[in-house]
Formats: sequence, structure tokens, C-alpha cells
Amino acid sequence: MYAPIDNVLPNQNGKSILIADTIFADAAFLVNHFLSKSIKNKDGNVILISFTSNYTQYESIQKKMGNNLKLYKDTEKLNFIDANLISTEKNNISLDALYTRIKNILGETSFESTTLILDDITHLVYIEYPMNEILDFEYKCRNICKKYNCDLVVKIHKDVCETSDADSISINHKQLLNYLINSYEYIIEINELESGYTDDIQGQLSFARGVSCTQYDFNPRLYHYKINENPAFSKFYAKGLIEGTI
Amino acid sequence: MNKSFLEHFIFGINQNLYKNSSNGIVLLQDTLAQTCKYLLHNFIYNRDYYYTIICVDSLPLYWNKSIERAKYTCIEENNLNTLQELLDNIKDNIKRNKKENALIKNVIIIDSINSLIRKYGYNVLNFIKQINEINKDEIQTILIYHQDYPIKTSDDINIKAVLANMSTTNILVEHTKKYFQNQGWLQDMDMDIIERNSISDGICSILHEKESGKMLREEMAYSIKIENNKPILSVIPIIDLMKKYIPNYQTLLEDKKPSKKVDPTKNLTFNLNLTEEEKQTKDQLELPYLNVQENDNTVGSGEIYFDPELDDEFDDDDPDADLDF
Repeated sequence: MYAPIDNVLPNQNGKSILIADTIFADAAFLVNHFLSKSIKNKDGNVILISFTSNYTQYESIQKKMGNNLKLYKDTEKLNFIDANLISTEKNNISLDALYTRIKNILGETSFESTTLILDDITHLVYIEYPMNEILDFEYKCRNICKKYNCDLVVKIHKDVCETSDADSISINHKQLLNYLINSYEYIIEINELESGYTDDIQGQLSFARGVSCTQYDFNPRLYHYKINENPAFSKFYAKGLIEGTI
Repeated sequence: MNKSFLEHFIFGINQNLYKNSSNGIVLLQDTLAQTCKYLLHNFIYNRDYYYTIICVDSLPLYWNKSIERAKYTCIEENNLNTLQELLDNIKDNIKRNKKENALIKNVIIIDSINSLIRKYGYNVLNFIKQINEINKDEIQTILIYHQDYPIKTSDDINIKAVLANMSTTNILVEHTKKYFQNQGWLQDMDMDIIERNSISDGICSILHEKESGKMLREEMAYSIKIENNKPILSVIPIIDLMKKYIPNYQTLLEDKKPSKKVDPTKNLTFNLNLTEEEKQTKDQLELPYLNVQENDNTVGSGEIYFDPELDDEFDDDDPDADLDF
């Protein structure tokens, strides 16, 4: 379904991918794409940590993509962790506890390749989780994924704050965003169209080289996209090209 | 061009020209558009030093892939709790290098200084000084600083300015298109997100304090070739990149050429010029008290000619007669 964009990133394991979206160009379809890809890979499994959505939301979208998550829930193939209630208060899930769980799953898995998805890390900034702990958690996840040769996919919003905002949430958000952009191998940005609005295209999808990318044969690409309710009918076009027109 | 500081920094040539550049602190700056890491990798490939890399943002595995043949150790800051522990680790590393590798020169790389300051505040500035003091002649510290990563301080101190003052060498690596846009030469062509971290070329702006205290400023470009999956840099003049990216670069060069001597009397509200008539009148004017026009032999004589007025009381007596020596 998403064949044009599947071949952009290298196939090997151990990649770190940052997905940055905006309010008007949401990247939920990409998160579900990576989830679907991991589920369909018979040698792979997935750890999905959701800070914002609940399980039924993923289940209904994956159903349209041809995956029945009910078969995999609570199995080694799909490890879904609901982190909506994460906070620094006692008796709630903390990032330390979350990391310990990830470490245990990765240590015990029998699958060849695992994908760890964090959806969506911006939530930790909104609930004013201490910045040092967020960065600490992110670094440890990235490190352990590298050690076990797993893919790490992290989603973040990039347009919440104005550059001039001086409140602590905006500053922390900008710090986190810039820190991640400076640390990941592949940066996928979802933006609205530069030149206005059209029924045929919803936005643009950029695949850029990150600072820690060591694959020098990787070719950055830009696509325009339109996502359909039925993913089989979603379309991706190279910039400037649309079916039937140039 | 072979005397350029950038070439010296990357390849280690011209040591005589830049004697103090192999010690002290280097502030290596980059932006979200262009990383400084390709420059740093080339620095490491070309110099047989011992590297201690403080991984605050990057992972040790990244350095394993990038500089595999170099002699280095990574210290994960994440595993330590205080700056003192980090300093002790660095000192142990340097001692181990002397014992195992006998490499004289040590380079400490902090990736990145932004994250370290965010975590430990102003104590990091003292920490940097302490690293340098381990052995001033044998240690060089390279601080990777991300210009776009804000460091908020409680009293709004400009941390970048403080770091720049502490450093002997400041190098800013910029994306070529962004550099040209900032100069006003490439206004119609915006840099695309996908052009980030170009493995084709880049531009460096350098400020280096020489041993004499004189400041050296330099702007130089580099181009990259990928060999054996490694980015290999070569230094080129900026004009080579202008030819590549700016269609009308020649017009820009013409505009930059120094114009004819400026006429200071142009565009004034009053007239400073003389007409030919006025010049003649001026030449013919006989100035009082000036005997030059009459007598050409008076050049350098030093004589004073005094013509008293009618009302002057002229006294022939010696005015110093009443002095008793």
C-alpha cells in the first residue's frame, strides 16, 4: 500500500527514525504504517508505547490495513503498553518503570528484529515531566535499540510553540525537538502543502538525512500524499507529479 | 589557499603558521541545516591522537561506525551522576592512553556542550577549564555546539558568547544554501528540508586567536566525496560553490569589486569646489604677513619678520635685562 515510501529508508535493522508532524498534517498514518510493517514481518515483533491513543484506535486502523491485532495482543509479537497515565506521582507509571519493561522485553524476545514505537513523545512535555528524565529515557531507549539492533520510531509534534514563546513548556518542547533532530539517523517530516490546498493532495512527506546517519547512499526524498480510509487507495507522488498531469 | 586555517584544522598541515591551534578549546558550531560531524570525522582521520569522546547526545555505536580505525574511548555521560565523576573518568582515560598507546596528544570531544549545560548549568564552564588544566600542552578540547538548540539560563546570560570567549578557535559550519541566503545572494531558492546535512559541500566561518593575540578570520568552503562509505573533505574557495549554486554569480562578484575613488565633494549641501576663475583669483591674492611670494630664499631660514602696527609701542631694550643669572 505504501510501496513508494517503503523503499526510501534502508532495509537493515537498527535504524532510529524521528517522525515530526504538525497539527494540520498528522503523522498517525505513518505510525500505523510502521506498526503494520512490523506485524506483517514474520521474523519481527513490535513494542508499541502509546502516550496518547488507546488500543482500540490502533486496532480499528490496523483492521483496514489487513491486520487483526486481536490475534497478537498479549503475545510476544505485539507488546502494547498504554502509557496514557504516565506521571511522576507515586503509583503511576514512570519513565524508569517503562524503560525497565522495554529492556526486559528486548532481553527475552525470540524474534530477529524488533521495532520500538513511541507515540507521541510530545505528551511528556505537555504533562511537564522533568526534561532531564525525558532525555534520559529517550537516550536509554535509543542506546538499547542500537545494542539489540532494533528499529526505533519516535513521533513528535513540531509546531506547538511559537519561537518567541517564553513559557517552560514551549522552551522544553523546542529543546526536545532540536535534541531529537540532532540525534536521529532519519528524519521524516510531515507538512502541509507549501502552496495552499487541493483535494488531490493532503500534504507533503520529506525523508531527510539525520546527523547520525552513516548510510551515505541514502537518497533524501520528498513526496506529496493523500491518505485514504482504505489504505490500499492511499497515494504518494514525487513532488510536482500527479497521475495524469505533470 | 594551502595556508588556510581550515586546511590546517582538517589535515594538520602548516603547523608553523598556527602553533597554538593544537591546544586549547575549539568551539565547533553547527545548525539544524548542516552538521559539523563530517568536518570532525576528517579531523580525526587525519590526526594520530587519542580521543576521549563524551557521549551526551550521540551513542558510542555511532562513533564505532564513523571513526573505527582511530584510537578512542567513549564515555557515556548518561551512566554517570556528577561532573566530578566525568572529570575523573577523563583523567583515567588520559593516564591509560599514556600507558597503552604512548600517544602524546589527547583530544577531548564533548557531544554536545548544549546538553551538558542544560543538565549541569554553569558548573560546566568550570569543568571545561579543569579539563584543559589537566595538561595545557597536550590536551585539546573540542566542544560541539548546536546553534539552534536553546540553552535557557536563569539570568539570561549568553552562554554561546561565554563559550566563544573561552575558546581559542571558533568554527561555524553552515549549509551552503543557507550561507548564500544569509549573504543575500540566493533569495529565490529556499533550502529544502531534504537538503539537510548535505554530503556534498558546506561553508565554514572561522575565528582563531593566534599565539600573538591577533585574531584570524577566515571563510572557506569544503566539498565532500564519499569513499568506502566515509565522507572525505577537501577545502575549496567559496567561489567554487558560488559557481555551482548561483547562476548570476559573476554579477555579484562585479558588485563586490571596489569602486572608483570616492569623491568627497559629491552629494554635499554646500559647495567645496572652485571654478577656474576662483582658482586664479585665489592664486593672485596677496596675503599679508607672508613674504614667500616676494622672496623664494626664505625657505627654512627660521627668521621671524615683525612689522609693528602704528599703535604698537616698540621698545628696543632687551626684555631680559632685569634677569639675574
